[in-house]
Formats: sequence, structure tokens, C-alpha cells
Amino acid sequence: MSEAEQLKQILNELLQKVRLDRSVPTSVFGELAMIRSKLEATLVQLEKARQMDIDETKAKFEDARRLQGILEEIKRSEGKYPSYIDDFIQSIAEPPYIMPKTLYEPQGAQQISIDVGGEIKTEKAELALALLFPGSTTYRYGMFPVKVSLGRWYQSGRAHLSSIHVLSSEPEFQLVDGQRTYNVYKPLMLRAFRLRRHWAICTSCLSLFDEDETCAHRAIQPRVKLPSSYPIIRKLELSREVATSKDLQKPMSLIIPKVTRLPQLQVGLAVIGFERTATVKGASRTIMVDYDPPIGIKLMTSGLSFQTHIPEEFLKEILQSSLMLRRDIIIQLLACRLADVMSEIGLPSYHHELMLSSIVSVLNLNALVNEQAVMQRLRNNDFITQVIAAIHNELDFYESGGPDPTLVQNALLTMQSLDITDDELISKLRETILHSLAHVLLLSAAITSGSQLDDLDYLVKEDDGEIVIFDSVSGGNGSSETAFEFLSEAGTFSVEEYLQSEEREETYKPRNLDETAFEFLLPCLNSVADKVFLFSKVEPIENEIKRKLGELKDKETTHQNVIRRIREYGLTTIFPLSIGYHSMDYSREHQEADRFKEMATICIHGCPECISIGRKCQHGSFHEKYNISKFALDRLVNFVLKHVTLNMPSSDQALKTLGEHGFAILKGSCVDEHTCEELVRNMNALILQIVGKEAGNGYVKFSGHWVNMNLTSGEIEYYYLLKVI
Amino acid sequence: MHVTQKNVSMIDVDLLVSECIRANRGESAFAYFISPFIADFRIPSALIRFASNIINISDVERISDLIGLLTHYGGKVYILSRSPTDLLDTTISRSFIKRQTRTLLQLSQRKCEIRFNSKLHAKATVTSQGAVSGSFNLTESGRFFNLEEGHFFPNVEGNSKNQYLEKLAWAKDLFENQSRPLTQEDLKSNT
Repeated sequence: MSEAEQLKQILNELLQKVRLDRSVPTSVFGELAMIRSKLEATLVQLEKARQMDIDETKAKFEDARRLQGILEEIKRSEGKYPSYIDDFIQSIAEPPYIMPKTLYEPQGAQQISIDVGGEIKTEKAELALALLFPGSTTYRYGMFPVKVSLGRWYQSGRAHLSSIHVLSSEPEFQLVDGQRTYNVYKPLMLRAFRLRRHWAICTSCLSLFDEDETCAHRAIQPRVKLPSSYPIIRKLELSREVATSKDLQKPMSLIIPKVTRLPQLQVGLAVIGFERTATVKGASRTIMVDYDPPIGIKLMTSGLSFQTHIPEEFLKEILQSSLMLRRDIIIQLLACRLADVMSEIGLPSYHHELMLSSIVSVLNLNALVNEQAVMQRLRNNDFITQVIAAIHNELDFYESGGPDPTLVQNALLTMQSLDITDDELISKLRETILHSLAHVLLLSAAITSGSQLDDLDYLVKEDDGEIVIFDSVSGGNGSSETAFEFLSEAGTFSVEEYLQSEEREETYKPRNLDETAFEFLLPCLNSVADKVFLFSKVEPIENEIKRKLGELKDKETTHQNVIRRIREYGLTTIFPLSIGYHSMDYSREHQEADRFKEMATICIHGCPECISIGRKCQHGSFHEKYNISKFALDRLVNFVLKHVTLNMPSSDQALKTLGEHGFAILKGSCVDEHTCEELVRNMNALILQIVGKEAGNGYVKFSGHWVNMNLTSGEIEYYYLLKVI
Repeated sequence: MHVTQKNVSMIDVDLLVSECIRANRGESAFAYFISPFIADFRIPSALIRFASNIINISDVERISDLIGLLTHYGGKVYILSRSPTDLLDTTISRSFIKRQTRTLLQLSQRKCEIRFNSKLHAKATVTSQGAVSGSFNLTESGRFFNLEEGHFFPNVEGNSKNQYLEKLAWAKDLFENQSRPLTQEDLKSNT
């Protein structure tokens, strides 16, 4: 018997006695009975409390407290702008850093109305285009998600916006993109609705099953988590006002001689479509939807103009000397042209990889073929039949059903008439390098100014060889101006000047913009580690590479077959291998195919650790890989530094170059562990004999050190940068 | 190589950066700083710019930051100086003594091993790559203001190698056998 039950029994006995005792008044008996029932109830509660799980109760209490905290935080942040300021402000440094004004000032004079089921909300135009574009979903307007209407698009991959939303009657501006000219309309009111609680997604085309989109694929998967969406934004300079310029220091000046501040810059922003990413059956899939017509606004902001120098002789020489790059540029050209053709004829973009992979397979682009061979195969009578057969063969690896045969036929017919000339290859390579440089400058400007990547944006003016980095909001946010202030001054040093300079009193400045950009131009360490793992006999001993190699070695058991197959294909085949599944010739298993893709996407033309910026890329993350090339950038750097790069020189040779050019790069290569150690020892000895010595107008300073792996020879190359300061 | 105030700071920085690279490779990396007077000073930005894909030489504003970076990468830093408490009995200004105490405290927090010798007058920087000895104190005056003179002995084959090894042996002996460790008492003058 429990203590509670014992107590109850005693009370009952007491009551019984009181009832029988005539000397006790009835009212006392009544009171006692009431006390007994109260006590009984309390004892029941006590027993329940004893049986409660204390840990669970504590956890529930903590949850409730956290929730209350969040609610209070939301209450506090109402009316503030933007919402992340409290978190962000703690991570930033003390003044005199100039904070991007985005953090403090509501920006943007233009507004767009959002009609959420009859309730009208007003939003800043830039924000609306970045977050509330047609097809996007948001929790901005309450607990239940709101979706901006898109309409049916699955048949053509194109959403017709003018019948759903209220757009300006006249185009805001015109945008030329590749071979197409768009009329861009300003959205006046975007219609949106609250999504129902239960909804689903098509695993084939990623259409949402709501009252807006839907499709006829019948591959429905119920969903809890909303897919993520990003707008694809094209930018166009409309006007500018030019202010001061700064010349950059060597070696960066050999690629970007001059930077000019643009205090007044008008940019046309056009959202030409969006990407939607969702995980279906365990794998991530991305699709692209085009807008018809594109929507956009004019932005008055400020920015920086970077004048680039990409020598014509470099473009010609590299395309002649590197058959791999020539072939990869041909693939990039085909990929971009195919995307245009598919968009023109209304073939949805989610078939792009499948079609491109089949074309790569039929044109035998895994081999180092040139454009003549490619065109010859394109013109073959059985080209279309072969591609269709390849599509069917590869289709097993995809979730989606096959593309419309008539549309495929039409697309391939158009592709057959494609001409690839030497000039076109040169032009594509120049565009790719410029675009890659733009990514480098955007990343560097964001790092230097302490901004987020979304505070800045970029546009590339291919004809002028110019890259413009600008603040991504109306009125500017100070990011580009800060980046301009952090360009290196003349890189010289003398004690006399230093003692009289203001620098001694200045507060610390972060790394300069041009220094940061130059580091992005050095070989990608991720790429070096991947290449070493798969194709080199030498393992560099640098900690960071060893760490990455350790991670890769963990995959040797699970990815054994994949690694063997990729090694057989060879390093020069990596880029085509990463497209689709055409190279999966040893297994039909989906898991093995995904492992193959994972290992084949090693960084040759860019990865998130170097120049890939995903959704921030103006071509969208879907087509980014066909518009950037870290490999070409590396070769450009090697080309412009060729005249100062010395292979294992004597100290006299190095001093002579330093005296003539103000800087020199000492290089050494090794093929095995033993020669690697010896090389590093010798190079160190060489550096020690030179540093601090007089050369030209100053003293020699050790200013840089990087490592690379030669794609052709598999050798590890060590570079040492010396400067006269 | 002959060294003056014009290039000594350059060699200092290069030696420390080279040690950071060695430490990052997992090789033995160390630095002995022997200087009666020590006070943190700013490194001119032109001297500290360094581009690399294997090591991050950034956020370095002062010499203590660079020394701290070396210990961060796993290098050993040994500092031999005069105790601030010993300096209290000299004509050295109170403000300088406080500065020396603060610098030593900072370096000790950055995992540098600090020892003292009250008769110390010699000045040298010795790393695995080379040695600089001369009249330079590890202060802004010693590195930039004063007229100073000394020599750099790189650790490379030839005459310089023997001289370097002599300096290294001397520095080791001085640090290990002719000095005493830092105590809380030594940092009293900071309060």
C-alpha cells in the first residue's frame, strides 16, 4: 500500500469515528469530509506528479521558454530593417570600418504591390524581385506559406506572366542576352495565394500540385518541406557617371590595370526566370522555368568598373596548346546553344543535362576532339537517331520521363546547323574568362567590404572587356565604395617614408581588394587535392592538402569502382564525365551512378571553394558550369606572369629579374616524395639567399607561396613570389 | 648579409612567415627572440602582404600577431628578455616598462615560452631558417627609428651555415641554461 493510500485509510477511519461520536457537531463532520475530499484530490495529483518524467518535463519547459524568447525577438524586430541585424552586428568589427548601409537604411524608392488573396501588401521592388518572384514561396505573411502565382508551365518550361500579374503597359527596358532580345516589364502587382496544408510535387518536372501549377506527369510525391527557389537575374547597364580611378599594383595590374568608381550607375535588373530545387527520392534536383515576359526594374546605384586586359595572343595560344581546354570550350558552347534552342522551342530545361550528355556521347567529346571533328559528326545523317538512342539508354538514371520526341527532333535539327569557328571559340573563351573574373571580383569585393554576397551584384560588358561590380540596392549601400577604398596603395616601403606617413597612426585595415582577388586567382586547393588523389604519385605535405586527401581516402572503399574507372578515363576527360551519365558504362545501379557523378565533379573549371557562386551567377546555378573556367583563369595568370616566372633559377638570375620587373616568381616541380622534399629545401635556400637584399629601387621581400598540380605531367609545382618593395 | 634598420623588419617578417609555412607542413618550426627590451609594434602593411593557397597570413597588424600566428600553426616561440621588475630599478620610463609587461603578457597568452636574464644585452632573432643578430631590440625604435646595424645568417650551405649554427647553439644555451622562467611577480608592474 502506498503512503497516499495509507493516509486515505486513516482519514476514512477518522471520519467513521467522528460520525459515530455524538459529541461532535454535524458542521465539524461536514468540514472534515470536505477536507478529506480535498486531500484525496491532492494525493491523486501527487501520485501523478511522481509518475512524471522529469527530463521530459524539463525539455518541454525549455522548449516553451525558447519559443517565448523567439516570440519576444520577433516582437522586438517588428519595424526594424533588416531582420538579421541583431545577429550580424555582433560579428562585425569596430569602427572605422564602413558598414554597408543596407544594414541601417531602408533602401529602394520603388515599390511593388503583392496581392495575397485580396490582402494588398507593399514591398520594396528589389526585395520583391529577389524573394517574391513568380513561383517562389514565402513565410513572410504569416504561419502558412504564401506562393506567388506562376501558372502552368510544364509543357514548355515557360510561365506566361501577363495573364496572371499586373505588368506595366510599356516595357521598362530591352535586354539583349545571347541571340535573344527581351522586352522587360515592370511588375505593378504580383498575385499570390496561401498554399493549402496538404500539397505535393511532381518528381518528374518539380511542378507543385496546387491550384496554380500542376502537370500531367502523374509522378506525384506528397511534400512537407517547400522547395527552394532562386531568381535568374540578368543585368544591363543603362547609364553611368564616372569619378576617380586607381591603378592597381603588380602582379594584379597585368590582368586588371585600372579600377574606376561609378558614383551614379543605372542598371536594368531583369528576372528572366527562376530555378527550383527539391529533393526527390533522396536526390537533389533543380529545374529552370523561363518567364514570358521577363519582369524587372531600373536601379539607380553606385559601383566600380574594372577594366580587364585579356591578351588576344593568349586566347589564341591557349586554344592551340591545350586540346583539353579547346574541347571543354566546345562543350560549353554546345551547352549554352542547346539551352537557348530548348528555351526557344519550349523544351523544358530539366531535360538539358540528359540531352547534352547524349550529345557529348554521340560526338565522342570524352576524347580530345576539335571543332572540325565535332561539326562533321553533327552533320552526319544518323546524328539525330544516335542521340535519341543515347537519350533512351541514359533515361534509366533520371527520375523524369523522356522529353517530347518531336521537340527533341526539332532541337537536334537546329543543333545540327551549328557552326563552330575558331573566332567563336576565341570569343566564347574570352566571355568565359571575363565572367570567371567577374565572380572573383564579386567575391573579393564582398570579403573586403565586409558585406554579404547579396549586398553586391555584377555585370559583364563583353565588348568592352569591362566588369562592373555594383551595390545591389537603389541608392547604393556603400559596399562598392568601401571596396574601392581598400585597393592597395603603391606597394613600396622605405623606413624614412614610413616614419613620416600616416599609416603608423592608422587603425588596421583588412586585406586589400586586389590582394584578395589575386589569392582567388591562385590554383584552387580543393582542385589540387582532388587531382593529386586521383592522378598524382606525389602527395604534397601541406596540412590543408593532407586534410583534404584524408577525406578523399575515406571514400576509397565505398567508391572503389568509380575511382578505378575515372582513373582509366584520365584527368583530361573529367569535364565531359561530369555531364549526365553517358560515361556510366559499367553499372546500371542508381547509387553507383550517383557516386560516379560525385567523384567526376572535381574542380577543373570551378567549384564552390574557388569561383563558383551558385545562384548568384548571372546564368543561374543550373548553367554556371558552362560559363566559368578556373582552368582558363589559371592559364591566363601563368601567361601574364610568364616573363617573370623562373624555373629553379640561380640567385643572380632571380635578382636580375627582380631588378628589371620589380617582382619575380620562382618555380620548381617534383615528381616523387623524395624530389619534393629536396625541391622545397632548395627553394627555401634560394629564397633565404635573396630576401632582404637590395634590388632595383628597394629590397627583396618574400610575398607569396602556392602549390599546383600540372594537369599534363602530374607533377607538383611550387611557386614563390618575390617582390621589390 | 649586412642588415640595417632599412631591411631588418623585412627579414624578420620573412623569417616568421617561412616558419609558419614549415609548421603548416608539420616540420619543426621555431623562433628565438632575444632582446632586453620588447614592445609590440605595428608592421607596415607593405611588409605583411602575402598571397598563398596553402597558408593564411592574414589579420596580422602587429608583430605579436605574427608571432601568435606561428604558435597557432604549431611553431615554438622562445622569448628571452629582461624582467619588467628588474627594469623598475633603472632609469627606463615607467610607461615603457608597462608596455614591455603588457607585450610579455600578450605573448605568454599566445603560448610563447618566456624567460629572463637580468644581465641581457644581446639582441638576436633565430629561426630554423636563419639568424639575425645585431643592435636591434624587438621594439618599434629598434626596428625602424634608430640607426641600427647587424648581420643575417641564412641557414644555407656555405660559410653562413656554420655561423648560423653557432648562433642557434648560443641562443639555445642562453635560453635553456642561463635564464629563469617568467613568474606572476614579473608582471606585477602592469598593475
